[in-house]
Formats: sequence, structure tokens, C-alpha cells
Amino acid sequence: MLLNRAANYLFVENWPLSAALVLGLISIYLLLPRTHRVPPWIGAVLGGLALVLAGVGLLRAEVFTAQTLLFDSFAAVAVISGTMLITQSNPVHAALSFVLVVMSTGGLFLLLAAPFIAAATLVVYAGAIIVTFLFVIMLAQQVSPSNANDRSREPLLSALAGFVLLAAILLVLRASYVPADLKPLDGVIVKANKLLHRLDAVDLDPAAEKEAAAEFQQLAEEFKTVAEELVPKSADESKPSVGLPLAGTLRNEAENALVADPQTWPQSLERLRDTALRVRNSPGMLTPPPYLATSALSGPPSNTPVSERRLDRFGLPAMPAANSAYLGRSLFTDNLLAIEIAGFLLLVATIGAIVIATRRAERAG
Amino acid sequence: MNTLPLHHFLAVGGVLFALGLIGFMARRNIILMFLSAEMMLQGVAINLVAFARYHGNLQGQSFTLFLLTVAACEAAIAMALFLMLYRSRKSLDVSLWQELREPGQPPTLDEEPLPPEPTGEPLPRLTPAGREPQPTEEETHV
Repeated sequence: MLLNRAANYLFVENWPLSAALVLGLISIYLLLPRTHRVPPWIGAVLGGLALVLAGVGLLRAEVFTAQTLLFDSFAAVAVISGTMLITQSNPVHAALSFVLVVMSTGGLFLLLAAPFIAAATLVVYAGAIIVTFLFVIMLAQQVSPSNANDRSREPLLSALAGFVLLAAILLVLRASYVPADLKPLDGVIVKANKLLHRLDAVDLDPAAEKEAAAEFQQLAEEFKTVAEELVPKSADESKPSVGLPLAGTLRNEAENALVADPQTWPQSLERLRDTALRVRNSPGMLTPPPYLATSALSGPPSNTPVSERRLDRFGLPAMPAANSAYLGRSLFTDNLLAIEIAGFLLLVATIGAIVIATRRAERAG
Repeated sequence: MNTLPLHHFLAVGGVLFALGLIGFMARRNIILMFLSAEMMLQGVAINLVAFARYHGNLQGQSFTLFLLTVAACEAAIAMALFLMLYRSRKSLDVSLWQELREPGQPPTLDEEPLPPEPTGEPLPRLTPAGREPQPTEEETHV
């Protein structure tokens, strides 16, 4: 019974993702270096097909925006450069592929409102670590076909192990972050956005305002029904429980909005819309503990209620625009001890590297 | 509406981590093994920064900075050690250090020989035009 459900989940419901994983495994196995290599275009074509299938299977987006396009390009470049890194024979080519990986992760950091981390990653990894790698490759050169560059240790077993891990990660992500039925919630959020947009655009005459108020009542009813569908069900074994956290809060807010003061209904609608956005973004997120060890200088705690947070237009908590300033403030107040220890670690590593290098030169000379 | 949900970023972080794991286990060049380990760290960094964005605070970004620091220290010491290892065996192949394996494990043997070094095209030779000049007594007796 369990095996039936597992096979159904893997091969019927999520067949693009499973097909992508199998194709990716075959392509990595074919691309890893060995003495008699198959022509690399076979592995490249299979890998490209796997990437497209994984994109279809995991990253379906309803709306195609500039953000989605940027994310897709950065993610595709990261994965392709990662594959090139582990399958190139020439170590210099592999080091340059790593630079491509770092640049694409820098782009992803920019999409995640972390410009300081993007710049720091680029400077430290692509600037310092890769240059060190290239110097060492230059000092430790290998004659052209060598055991180190042109052979792999257990290509089939290592590719299998890596892809079993990847399958576990991707399938669990799909199961916990893409619950079955969020389309009604999306529809209701879009309607609320349209109504709020109409209110902001122009001052309405009394007739239109009454019509808008009636529409608001209807919308609050819809919010309530949708929220009731999403509240976790305890003992219903017949259908899978979608159950989202904060759905109960949404239902309560909808009930309050229905009986609220008619003067304040635009604010109630906005609060309803923000709570619904927060519910929409909550699948897969664990509830943070009530006590958090950092102060407010590192940002508001994760369990702050929706009414006390600023949300941006995507429904996510707003991040500070002056990222470096706030990051510095957080580092030097909440994480001061860690900063000092990190500086000490850097000093010790510098001394250690110099000692190892000098001892090597003495022993050689 | 949020068109870029959290699990997209977690999937990319997971893929980078798994690819780094495969590279670490499969490659024989010590430097390439270490480069794959650095790619695993990049995957973890993407996860941390994504969670920082979707929770709305900066804790994930602070931890990523410490990750960066530790990766830099690790790279410095590792490079020095790799150069020492190269000096011992004149090769970066990690299979040369096999006597460090566990007692019950069979050794890794290379049965197939490597393909021969590709001989490049011979350097071009110009056809000699005229006789070669014979050096005079003065020029040979330096």
C-alpha cells in the first residue's frame, strides 16, 4: 500500500521531476572523466533535457515576470557551470567554471535583497580564493593525460549517491511547499488587489462607494470560505489535509471584517489581503519559537504578527533598502563575539599558512 | 502576488550541494575535490540568504558572512597543505595516499592505461635556401 502510494507519487504525479533526476544521473555519469570517454555532446544534451524537465516539474510559475526570467537564467547558469566544474578534466577550466557558479549565485543573492553578500561573495570567492587556486594549479602542474585529471573514483556509485540525495531534497520540497489547492486563495487575493487599486485610484461618489462596500462584504465572505477550507483538518483521512498555518487567523480576521465598522472597511480589506498573502507564503515554513536570541537590531523576529509588520508588494516581509548599514548594525551588536572570533580565526589561518609554506621551503632547500 | 516562492531558491541550493557532493566523491585531483566542497558551501549560502529574505530578518545574512570567512581560511590552509602533499609525491592524485584507507578496504587499482599523450603536429621546417655558411676560423675559436 505504501509502496503503491510512493510509486504513484514518484512516477505519476511528479513524472517530470523523476524523469529529470534519472536523465541527470545518466548525463553526469557519462560526463565524468574516464579513459575512454563517450563524446561529451551526448551527456550535454541529456543534461539540458534534464534541466528543462526539472524546470517544468518543480518551478511552475503562474505569472512570468522579469523576476522569474532573472531567476531562471541565474539558476540555469549556476547548475550548468556546476556540472561543468565537476566534469572537466582540465583543472583550470574547472576553476573558471567555479567563477561562473559564484557569479550566478551573486545574481541570486541580488534577487534575495542581499547586495552586500553578493559583493562580498564575488570579491572573496571569485577574487581571492580562485586566484589562490590558480596559483597552486600553476605550481603543481601535471603532465597532460594524468591519473589525477583523467580518471574518476567510482563514477557510477558517487553519481547514484548524489542523485539519491538530490531526489530526496527535491521531492520533499515539492511535497511540503506546493500543497494541493491554493488556486482559490490566489483568486481571492487578486480580487482584493483589484478592489484596493480601484479605491486608491480615484475618489468615488456615494453610489460607487456603496457598490464597492457591497463588493467588500462579498469578498470578506469569500475569504472566510477559503480560509475554512485551508484550516488544518484533524481527523479527516479521506482527503489529504492541505492545512496551512495562519489559516485560522485569516478566518478570524474575515469574520471580524464582516461585522466591522463600515467606516473602516478599506483598512480591514488591506489587513485581510496582507494576512492572505502571508498564508500564501507560509507552506513549508516551520513556526518559529516564541523566544529568539537576537534583538530587534537584526530585524523583527520571524513570529511577529502580520498587523505589526511591513509587507512589500509580494506579500513578503520588507527588507531594509540600506542593506549594508543594517547588516553592519546587526553584526556588531548581536553577533559581536562571533565577529571577533572570526577575525581571530583569520589571523590564525594566515599565520598557519605562512608557517606551513616556510617549513616546506626550508625542507626543500 | 509572489511569483518567486521560497522553494525555487531552496531547489537551486540543493542542486548545487548535490553536484558538489558528486564532484567531491568522484574526482581524483585534490584541488578539484576541494573546489567541489566550495560549491557545496555556495549551495548552503543560497539556502541561508533565501530564508533570511522570506523571514524578513538579517540573521541568515550574518551567518552567510561567517560562512564566507571560514571558507576563506579553509582555502588558505588547504592550498598550503596541497602544495606540501604535491612535494611528497610529485602528483595531485589522491589515490597515491591510499595507505590511509581503512584496514578492510580493497585498494583502488588502475587497470586500463591512460590514452597516450596527444603528439602535436611537428614544428614547421623551412626549406634551406642556398648553402649553409661554414663558420670561419675566427668565429669557431671563441
